[in-house]
Formats: sequence, structure tokens, C-alpha cells
Amino acid sequence: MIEDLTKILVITRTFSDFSEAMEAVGYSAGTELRAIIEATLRFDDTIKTKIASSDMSIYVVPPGTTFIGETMMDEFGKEGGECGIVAGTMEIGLVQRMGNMEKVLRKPKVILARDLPEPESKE
Amino acid sequence: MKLNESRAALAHAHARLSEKDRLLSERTTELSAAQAFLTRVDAVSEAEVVGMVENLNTLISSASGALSATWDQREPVPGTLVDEPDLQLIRDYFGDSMFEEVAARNPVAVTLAVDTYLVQFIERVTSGWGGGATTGVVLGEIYGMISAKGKVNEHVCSQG
Repeated sequence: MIEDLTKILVITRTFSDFSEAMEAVGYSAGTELRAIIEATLRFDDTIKTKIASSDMSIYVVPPGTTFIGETMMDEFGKEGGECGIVAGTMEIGLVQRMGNMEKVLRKPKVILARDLPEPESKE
Repeated sequence: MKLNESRAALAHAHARLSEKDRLLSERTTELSAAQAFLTRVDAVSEAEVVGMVENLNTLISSASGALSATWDQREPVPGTLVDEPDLQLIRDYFGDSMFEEVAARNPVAVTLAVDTYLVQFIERVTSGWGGGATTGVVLGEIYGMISAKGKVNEHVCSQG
């Protein structure tokens, strides 16, 4: 987890040493990442042992997916979002399945590629 | 003769009806027994599960906010520390434009990339069949690594 996050962050060319980068990631967000793991364990146990009437699972949208307003939430909610391409998912959603029925209980929040602001260095 | 045939047919029909009654009674008993196992009562409500998802989202936001401290206060340095195959994997996953935005230190793109990794991580570890036990083993190892990393950092910081 830390190594993967570090690989993403070193793309910003902030670090000159990978070990230093990993330590920085662990030092800066270790508490938050541990909290995510604890909450993920509780969530996993809940959907697999405490929900029996239906199947529930996390719903995320891979980058490059075409935006669908019925099942996704656009962070910026601009006009014409229906035809946008998802750049990434910032909040997880929740989907419930009962037989052939599928219901989105919580839409994942996404940012569309066209809504990424221009970085300052490009201005 | 016809009367005898009719009686025989009637007796046969009675026998078939009795057999069907017996079968119906048997199946009804079996279904009643199975019903106890088929009755599904959730120990937690939908709203509670949605609340857990909201909590995870809050934690994701906190983590990406905390991680911004690792890069947005520093000047960029030349070169890259990630092997080309790994870079290509990341580029393939996020797409060229998103990758370039992260490389250009676009704060929204970097934060979104971290968020996207974390949501995929949670999706991946909770989508397996194993349930609490298996997920616990996988996450336990990661948790231990992060805790160990924290201790190393505490040591380094106390020395510094």
C-alpha cells in the first residue's frame, strides 16, 4: 500500500530517494492509512457476515469510464457531464444486489477528465 | 362391465390422489423446515452500511490531505525513481492525460490519483470471497508494515 502510494507520488518528482519517499508517506499518513485498514476490516466483516438479505459491495469507477449520471456523482456537477470521461474516483459508492436486481445505495463520486484544472506551472 | 371399469378407474384415481397428497404433505414439511434457514434478517441496517462507506470516504480524504504534505511543499527534483514498467502500469491505469497532470504536479490530479488508488485498494480487498478472516490476514500484514514504518519514523524523528 505504502509502496504503491509512493510510486504514484514520486511521479511528481518530489523525491530523490525512494526509501526517503516511502518513509515520508508512512510518516505523513500512517495514522490515516491504519484507520482506513481498520474501517475496511469492519466494513468487510459487516457486508459478509451481518447482511444476509442481499449482497452488498463497494462500487468504484475505473479511470477512462464514460460518466453515467444514474450511477455516479460528478464532483463538479457541470452541465453536459453525461458525456464526460472519468479521470478518477475520489469517493467509494455502495451497490446492493438481490437476485437480478441491482441498486446503487451510494453513488461513487468522480472527477471528469475535462474538469481537472490546469496546473499553475502551465499557466 | 362398464361399471367395473369405472370402479377400477375411480380406485386408480383415488390411489393417485392419495399419493399426491402424501407427496404434498412431505414437501410441505420439508419446506417448513427449510424456511427457518431461508429467513434472512440483517444484523445491521442499510443506513448503517452506507454510514460505514461515508466514514471510509472521510478517511480517504484525510489520508490524501495528509499525503499532500509529502510533495506540495517541495521543489521538484530531476529524474524519476520508478522503473519504466511500473511507470507504464500507472500510466495505463490512469490514462495519459491524468498521468501527465500528476507529473505536472496538478494538485487536484495528484489528490485524485491518491484517492483513486485508495478506493481501488478498498474495493479490491473487500471483493474477495474470504470474508473477515482472509481479508484480515491480508490487511493485517499491511497494517503491520505501516505500523513498523511509523516506528522507524518515530525513531528517526526522536533522533533528529
